[in-house]
Amino acid sequence: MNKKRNRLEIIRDILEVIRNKSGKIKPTHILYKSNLSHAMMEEYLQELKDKEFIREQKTQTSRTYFITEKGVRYLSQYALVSDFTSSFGLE
Amino acid sequence: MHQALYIIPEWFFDFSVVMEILFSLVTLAVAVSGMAVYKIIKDKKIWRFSLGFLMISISYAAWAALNTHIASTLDKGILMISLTNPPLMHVLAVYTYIIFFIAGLVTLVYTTLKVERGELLYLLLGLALTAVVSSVSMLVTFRIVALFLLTYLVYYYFNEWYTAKNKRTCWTLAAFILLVLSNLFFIFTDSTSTFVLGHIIELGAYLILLVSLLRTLRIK
Repeated sequence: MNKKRNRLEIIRDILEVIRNKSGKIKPTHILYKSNLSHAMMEEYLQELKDKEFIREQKTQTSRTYFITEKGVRYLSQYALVSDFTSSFGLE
Repeated sequence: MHQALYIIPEWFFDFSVVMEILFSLVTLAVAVSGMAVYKIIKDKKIWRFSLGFLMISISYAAWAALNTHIASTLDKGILMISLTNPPLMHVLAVYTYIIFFIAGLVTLVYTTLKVERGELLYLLLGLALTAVVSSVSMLVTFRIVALFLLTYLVYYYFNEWYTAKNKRTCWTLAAFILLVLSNLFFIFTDSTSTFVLGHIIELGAYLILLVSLLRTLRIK
């Protein structure tokens, strides 16, 4: 059985899903790939927007999310962030 | 009333200054690394954690500065730093050391509580500093309050290690256990040997913290 993901892992997973879809994705794909409830996904998407890891583009009928440079940087330095937060109990 | 901050054997004085500078640098390194991680993840917890270590770094720097300044006034034999009619500069350095050390520990404790309540930080900081500064035996109260806060951090890191079985957290737990032990030695300092032992244990704590940090940063 997989262990419960922590917050940093969920953020990484969402960003990876977006990056693997050429950097842009619809929320339904994120919901499908990230294995989160709709409410949880919306909460994480809001946090990622606040941190400027993703950018949202809205049209009348749909939403699309793009990964930003900061989001890509988070993915490349995820190991450092994860090790630091687990070392000092900050997860 | 006699209030000795610590009793230092003369042969150990230079070592103790070097150690205090080292403690300041290690805690500063943790703070700077934390700030770098904060820049990536923008998590307020990490910012507060870094701020806590930065304040502890400042406190050790003040302590080292005090000891360096009084080195010239060192008499032969044993030096007893006292708060009985000291020069103003010494009082300022001691207050900087005490206030920043307690404020740093309170900030770390608040961070581990994982709540976003500024009022709680205000209360914790206010109560801890009021207790220390208003005490007749300020230096003993300072050590007891520091011990109390450090014991909580040991409890927190034990829980973190026990639930996640994370070796990395184990290093931090070990460092805080040693800091608790060193504080016990400082509380019961009645001879030069307990002061030296306390300092050596404290050195062990910060070396563990440094190794843990270097491993985290993948510096070998």
